[in-house]
Amino acid sequence: MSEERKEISLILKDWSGGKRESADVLLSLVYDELRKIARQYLRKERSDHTLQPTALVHEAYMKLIDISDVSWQDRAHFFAVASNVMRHILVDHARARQTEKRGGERERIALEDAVNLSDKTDVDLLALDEAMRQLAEFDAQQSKIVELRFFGGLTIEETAHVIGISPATVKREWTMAKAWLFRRMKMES
Amino acid sequence: MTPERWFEVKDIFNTALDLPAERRLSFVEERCAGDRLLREEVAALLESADEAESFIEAPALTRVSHLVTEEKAASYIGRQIGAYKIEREIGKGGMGAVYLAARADDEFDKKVAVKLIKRGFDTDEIITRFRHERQILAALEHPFITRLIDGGTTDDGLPFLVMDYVEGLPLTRFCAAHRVSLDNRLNIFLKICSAVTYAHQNLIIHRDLKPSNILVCDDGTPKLLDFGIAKLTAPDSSSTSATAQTTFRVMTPEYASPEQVSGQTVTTASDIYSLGVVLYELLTGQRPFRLKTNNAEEISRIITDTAPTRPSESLRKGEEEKRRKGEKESGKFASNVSSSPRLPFSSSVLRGDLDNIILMAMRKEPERRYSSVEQFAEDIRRYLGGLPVIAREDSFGYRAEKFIKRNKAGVAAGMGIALSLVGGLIASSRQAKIARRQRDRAVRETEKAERINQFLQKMLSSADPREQGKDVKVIEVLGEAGKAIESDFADQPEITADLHTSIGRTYLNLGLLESAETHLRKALDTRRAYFPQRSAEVAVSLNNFGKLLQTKGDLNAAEPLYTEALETFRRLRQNEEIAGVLGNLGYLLALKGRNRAAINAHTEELEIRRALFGENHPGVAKTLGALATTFGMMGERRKTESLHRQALAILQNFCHEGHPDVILEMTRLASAIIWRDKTEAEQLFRQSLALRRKYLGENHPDVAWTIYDLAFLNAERGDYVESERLARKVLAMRGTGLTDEHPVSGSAFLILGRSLLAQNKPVEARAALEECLALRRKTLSENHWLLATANSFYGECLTLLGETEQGRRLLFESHRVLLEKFGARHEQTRGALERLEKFLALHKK
Repeated sequence: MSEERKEISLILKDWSGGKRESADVLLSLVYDELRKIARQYLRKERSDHTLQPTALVHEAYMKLIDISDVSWQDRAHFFAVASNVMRHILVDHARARQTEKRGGERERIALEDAVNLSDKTDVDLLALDEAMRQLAEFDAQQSKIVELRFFGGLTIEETAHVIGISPATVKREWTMAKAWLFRRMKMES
Repeated sequence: MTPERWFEVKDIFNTALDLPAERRLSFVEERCAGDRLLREEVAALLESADEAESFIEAPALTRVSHLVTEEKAASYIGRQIGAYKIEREIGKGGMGAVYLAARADDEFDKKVAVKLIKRGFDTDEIITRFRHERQILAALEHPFITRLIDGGTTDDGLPFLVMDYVEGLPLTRFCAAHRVSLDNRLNIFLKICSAVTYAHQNLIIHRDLKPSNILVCDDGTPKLLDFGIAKLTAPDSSSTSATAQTTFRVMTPEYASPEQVSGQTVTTASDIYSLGVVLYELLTGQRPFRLKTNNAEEISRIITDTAPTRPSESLRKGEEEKRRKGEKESGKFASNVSSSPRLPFSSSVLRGDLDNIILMAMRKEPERRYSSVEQFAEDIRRYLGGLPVIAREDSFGYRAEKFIKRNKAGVAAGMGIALSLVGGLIASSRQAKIARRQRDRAVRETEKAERINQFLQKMLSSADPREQGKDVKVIEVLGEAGKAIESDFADQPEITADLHTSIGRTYLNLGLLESAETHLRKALDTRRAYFPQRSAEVAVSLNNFGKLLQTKGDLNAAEPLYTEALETFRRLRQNEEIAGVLGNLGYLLALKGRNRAAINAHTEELEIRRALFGENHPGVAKTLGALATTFGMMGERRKTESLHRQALAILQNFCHEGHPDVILEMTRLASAIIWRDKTEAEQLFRQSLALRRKYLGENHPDVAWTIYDLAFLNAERGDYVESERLARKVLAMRGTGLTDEHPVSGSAFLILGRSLLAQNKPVEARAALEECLALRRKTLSENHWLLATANSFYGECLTLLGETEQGRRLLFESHRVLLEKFGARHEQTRGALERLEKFLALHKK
């Protein structure tokens, strides 16, 4: 573990120093860790599958990074990376699920009803991802804020830190981004 | 949208948001002066901002749980578990997931459902419950219960179940989607009742009946799922309050009975309650209680203390609410109003009988509900048939009693007067008299059921291996129970008769005819003494006793019993029972050689079963099979074949490949087509041989029968070397799986003798045929056709060995017996005639 933590700290340093190729290694490490932790959560909390998202990222962060060894700047990078990773994981996953669903819709409905799946109100992640892409074309920062907030689970304050703007601005931008994405997705559907 | 334009939008949007809501639009109007597109963009965003307030506020990471579980699930996809290849996930529950799978080696590509515990949920408690479900399912075989096909442990140690794959919708959803009519809803519900009755007869309580545990297939066939928390009715030494707690956590409170939520003893009456709730929802579109809380105490209080709204009232309110909503929204989204499902009947049809039926099932006190699911179902059938139902509103007497209890002595005197007055009024009304008689009967039924229940529990607990320290066989339990009936129920003829019936029938199924006769006779005598001669109770006993006599071979004594039972059931219009007696009677008539009459009986039976269960039902298949056999006896080969094919198709569709009925029907079809297509016949025999070996093992008598069938086929084909080899193979099985006197040995000796004769080895043939005759004489009556067939070959053999006179006598005699039995067109008669003519032709010169 400590070897791994050292490694990640180094990668983060490389990354903030401009070595972009290390991002891929980082992505895969974060990916694995997030999954591992999520699984442990599930085992512990049988009756309640809802995870505390920030707790999850923080835990991953603590496990992956030797705090004494990294600056705040690195941590911000970590959060940014983690959020981006989550976006990839979840969107890819949603896509895979959609493919799997094809042809099996009927049974799925029947059994979903049987087990009271609660994800009926879920956001269509594929549509959201696409809308975020469009938003980024004329307002990359708003799109990034959504990625950090929604996929990374960061608070307004954390997001402000990571991007380096005031929390008040994050809040305004967030509200507007949500409004635009919501409308965009509504028009698409 | 360009970044520049967006910046403009953003500026106005942000400023507007800081203003009070009512001033925003005028502000935007002002700022966008003249730029219509800009104004529209900002206005639209402002509107969305309100709607999007909670949009994506909860981070996506809360969904990681899905990700992880599905990832794990995905890892099973494509994997093989037992003999099954997992294709995809079709559902998941709190602790497990269900996958669609196919047998890895299956040429038919039959789909099954595989249930697996989720990783991380493999605690001891859950694994125990899972094993328990497997035991329960293994004991149940019913057309409306999902069948257990297989089970085992995965390579990584998780238990799994393999079940029939049901393609259907949950009960309520099915009925809504197809706008099923009231009568058809009730008919589907009756089928569900028959499944639950069956489970209860097997001493199993489901304990979690609810619409999502009842899937309905396209043709309206319901299938009961999820016996995950089912329980044997036998008292369980481990059923402490902790178990009750677990139960509470596991089950679905909306459908749970008062005794379940308060942790008291759960009995079959609890399933009756849940069925009542299911029927309530099915007929009103709403649940009787709206539980808004998760608090166990609160839920328990609502379910034990609150009276449910009458179903008709509940439906009426629902209709009204919908109408109001419709009006309110019609201005805004006119197209959306029809989206909520309306029932294809109105509240007025529920008022009265159906209200009473549902509420009787849902009574708070278990002993005041219907005494059995069957009684509940019977009341629904009465409703459908326009007959008066047993269920009444809570009787005045009962409510009065409660009132007195509450108010103790003070009111007693006044109430007494009131009661006698009311009593006088009631007595004057004939209608009410009937009602009271039925109520009395219901009360009596309830008491009876309760006492039988106690008795069975006592018997089963005495059979509890833990208490006696050894494995107790069913037969021993039956013996004990049989002895205890008289002493335990000396003054209760109704109960004694019921118990004698159950025990007698079990003995009959086990083939223990003497004990069966003792009990079935007692049941019949008791019921004749206690019930009217033309009552259903007596008729049931007549049918049972007839079946016993028929099994014993006393066909003449059995027939009048069937006829009498049939008359009673016809008078009472009890169709399912009519079909049951007709099935027995048809079989008996065929045995007596009255084929025409047999066919009439089976044809009527078939019509009834089709009307009751639809085409796709094992009962229909069984009747088709019986018809086919009868036509076979008459030499109607084409008809026989086509009926067997129909029966087989239904069974294959309905049962899994290894089901004994499927294989039996397959071999019957094969036998029926030997005369015209030996290749297909051989294929079918080989297929059933493979299946029987797989499911029954190498040494099972049925495996021997199939090898015999192949021997017979080869003899018919003229390949006597092969038929000799196969016959010897059957005979070599004696001592392993076959008893020496097993009928298949006799048949194998016959084929062996026949093969040797054809290969011109009469000395060896004689020895084989004499073995056959010795065996058959031991077990069959003198004039049995199987003896005649053997004698025909023996006669031929003797003439070849020079014992002409003895041989001739046997050839003539056996032909006569077969002609009488089957008529001239039957294969057996034709064969015997051929041998006789061959002999005559040789000896003419």
